[in-house]
Amino acid sequence: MSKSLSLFLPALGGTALILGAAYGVMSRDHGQAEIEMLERRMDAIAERADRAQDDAAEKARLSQELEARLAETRANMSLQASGGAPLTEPAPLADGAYGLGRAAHEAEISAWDVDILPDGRGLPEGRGDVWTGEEVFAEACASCHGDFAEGVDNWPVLAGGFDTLADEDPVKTVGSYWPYLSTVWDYVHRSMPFGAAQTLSDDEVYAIVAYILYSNDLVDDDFELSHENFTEVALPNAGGFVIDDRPELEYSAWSAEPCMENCKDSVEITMRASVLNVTPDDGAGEMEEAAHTPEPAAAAPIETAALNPDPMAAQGDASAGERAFGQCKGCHQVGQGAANRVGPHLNLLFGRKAAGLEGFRYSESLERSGASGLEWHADTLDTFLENPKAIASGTRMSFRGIPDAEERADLIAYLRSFSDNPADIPEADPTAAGTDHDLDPAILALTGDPEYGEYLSSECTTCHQASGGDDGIPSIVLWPEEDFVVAMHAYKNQQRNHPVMQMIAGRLNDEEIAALAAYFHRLEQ
Amino acid sequence: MKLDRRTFLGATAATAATLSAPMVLGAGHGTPRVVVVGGGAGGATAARYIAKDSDGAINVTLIEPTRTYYTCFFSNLYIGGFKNVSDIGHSYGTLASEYGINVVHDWAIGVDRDAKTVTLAGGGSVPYDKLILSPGIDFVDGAVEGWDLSAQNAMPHAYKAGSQSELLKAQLMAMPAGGVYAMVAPPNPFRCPPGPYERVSMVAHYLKENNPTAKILIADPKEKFSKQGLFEEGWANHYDGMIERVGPDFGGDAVSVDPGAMTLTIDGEVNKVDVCNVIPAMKAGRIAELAGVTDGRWAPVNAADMSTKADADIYVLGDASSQGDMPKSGFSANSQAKVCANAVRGALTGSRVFPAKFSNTCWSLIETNDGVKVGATYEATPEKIAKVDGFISATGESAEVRKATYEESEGWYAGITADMFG
Repeated sequence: MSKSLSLFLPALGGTALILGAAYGVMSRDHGQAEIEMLERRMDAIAERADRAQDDAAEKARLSQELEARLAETRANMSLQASGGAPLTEPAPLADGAYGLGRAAHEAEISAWDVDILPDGRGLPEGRGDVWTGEEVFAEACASCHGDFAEGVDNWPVLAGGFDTLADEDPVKTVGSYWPYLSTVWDYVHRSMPFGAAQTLSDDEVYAIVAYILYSNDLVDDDFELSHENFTEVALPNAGGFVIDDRPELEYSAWSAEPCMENCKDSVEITMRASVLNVTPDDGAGEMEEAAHTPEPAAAAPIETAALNPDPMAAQGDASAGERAFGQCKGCHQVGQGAANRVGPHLNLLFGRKAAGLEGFRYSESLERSGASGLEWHADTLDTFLENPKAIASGTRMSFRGIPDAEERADLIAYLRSFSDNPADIPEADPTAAGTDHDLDPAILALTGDPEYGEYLSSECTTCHQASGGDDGIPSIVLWPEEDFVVAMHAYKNQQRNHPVMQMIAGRLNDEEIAALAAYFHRLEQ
Repeated sequence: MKLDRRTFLGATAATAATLSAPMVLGAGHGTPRVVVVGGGAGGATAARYIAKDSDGAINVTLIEPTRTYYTCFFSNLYIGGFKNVSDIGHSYGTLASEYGINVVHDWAIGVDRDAKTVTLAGGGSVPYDKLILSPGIDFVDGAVEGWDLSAQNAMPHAYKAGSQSELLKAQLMAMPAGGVYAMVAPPNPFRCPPGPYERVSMVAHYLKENNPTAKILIADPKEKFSKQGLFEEGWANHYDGMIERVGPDFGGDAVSVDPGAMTLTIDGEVNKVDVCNVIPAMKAGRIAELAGVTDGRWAPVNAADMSTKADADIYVLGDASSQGDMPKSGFSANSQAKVCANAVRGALTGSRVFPAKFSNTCWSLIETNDGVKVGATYEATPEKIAKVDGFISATGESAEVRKATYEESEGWYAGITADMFG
């Protein structure tokens, strides 16, 4: 069932109403409108197909997909009209209250309801052995959990830890701590691999669970786990969990009838989050934005590919790219303070050799690509982001790729803003030509006041030596005037990435930057 | 002779004071005179910029008692073994020979604001039209029970760099295996907010390599301190279990010391320690108080030009000033000195005066190649120097970033000392 749903859900595209359907009643009008919409889209696709140079197989696939969906929607319509089974009763609470949504289909509910219970309820049919599990685990899990489930860095340890539960620092693993194997199956199936949840087949999940059991020395290497023998596996700590129903504890509190109104005599603010220092200084808005970033819809390329036959010709939009980066954030950091996490940090990515960061453990595959001369530029990144395995078949980056060329271009534009920009003015080489910039010519044409520039330059010489010494901090003498202006604006606009320079340049206005350039220019003469 | 000179100078200054146009000030007695007291990050910078930019139009005298100036910044790195003491010592030779500054190695012990002269400990006095005081800090008497300057040999502060730094380093090296290094941290406000904690890091670095079972005990009257998250992360990463900090909740603000018995008593509990680094509460260098420009422990100044609220012809720079939001740091003093130099030059010669812009960045070293920084920009408002924008290193940064930050701090040291001493 989950398979057919995974086809079904992306096909719904933007109609979020159906996803939020647990509350409300589907109206006949809505169903009819959807049929009409789908028919229009099929017509549009057919028209585009006539015009476009796309290969026939792709068109056929898209048509089939849409036809299948059309048929399904029609079938649901008729079932609804005849009071048929797939529609459940409307949820009573929402009945007419807001006039939104419709009741969920049983198929939808069963797709959402992926709970696996300790007694085996909910388990799909399937099987997987330890050897297969080892392979799948190495591919999908080991980059965080380690080849032997021992946990890389601070990622969770899954194996071992027996007899440590009473220690000051217990190692809580599947073997030492978890009470029920069903939780392992459920969790792996529901949430793993990190960033690519629910991409594993049921057999693969069985195999991974079998391998985790093997890593904990709970089964032999010829063990095969299946829905048939699943409940026979008992975890060592099953007896360690009891219901603590002491009246003063949570269980009792939660079991009681909850108070829903007027629960306190008076309400007052006892402390503010900002005083408690639990409010982040910044980044809060960004996080929220990322949280709302939709997964790229599989339906999207149908439209964008047709509208923009050569998206690479278009410049990407860095702000759209920032939203697209939401899907990378689970593993990659970029920007000030970015560090290596599951994946390497992405600062100064442009021009970096593939697998080029010292101290990060890359796949052998990507190491080989780097050794054979692969560097990250817009074109190589575009290919990699479309399908990572196309560039490095064994890359640890378990990411399905971004099919939408425009989205890739946006993402690349965003990443480019964290590389030196303009890229052809290296920090330490003042003589390099600076032509790759989009600075307003009017800013470059400003005539600076050299005397004011001399005063302003005194702020620079606290760190930058007037003698031109450049140990630890780059030299700023003998820069061509235009390069200087371009570089300072790049810091001001936070395209160049250095917190002190962003801060200092950030409060200089266009005239002040011109004044500094004029002063430094006069020094040359 | 001395009397004649003073009489003559006093008369001139009185004449000058009656003239309204500032740039004519110099005309009363020829070249206008600026006297700078204190040759550190504030004073040396101010003297150099005024001399350099006025091109002989202003006569600059710098009064500084020491022949070799040891910078307080990077003195912790000397204690940690990353620098030699000679690396942080600087002479005033270039300021005298290249910039024509009259460098007087003496103590300023008084200011006659009516006569506009500075009295020297060695006898004699120096006349000024504009006086810039950059005396750094002195310690508040009785701030730590049981400690006074006579105890600084047994329990060094090492918060004025030089012999005190060398003494503390020698005591650290002589610690018995498994001994205790104690620090009494100062209350706010004080010179170099991250300084005590960088010092703890450097001491821990030394002990980790040479005396790994030794402990560090900090008695701290403050709830929080600068770069706390960064330091505590670094201490947990590099020196786990070595450092204990007792904050005010547990008596870190109720301490006394006994330099004879080498004990540190925290909230009634007596600790026998092997090194006791007492950093008492601070106040402006004494000459600011003698000049009568202080209010409480510090000298309030106007943000636009660093002139004191008490006397428009006396300016106070750096740690000794009370200016608003800037931390007491060498970087701040250097930044304030440039604003002040521009304003003083304008007042004396009519040169252009530009709007005040201040900035500060403080780098700290936690362990080899593990550098962090915090910084901000500031502007002058009618009330104070006000913060505009700032940043701080993030916890969890990569080793690569931290190493670059440390290397950057070395570059900054070369830059600022060149900016101070030429």
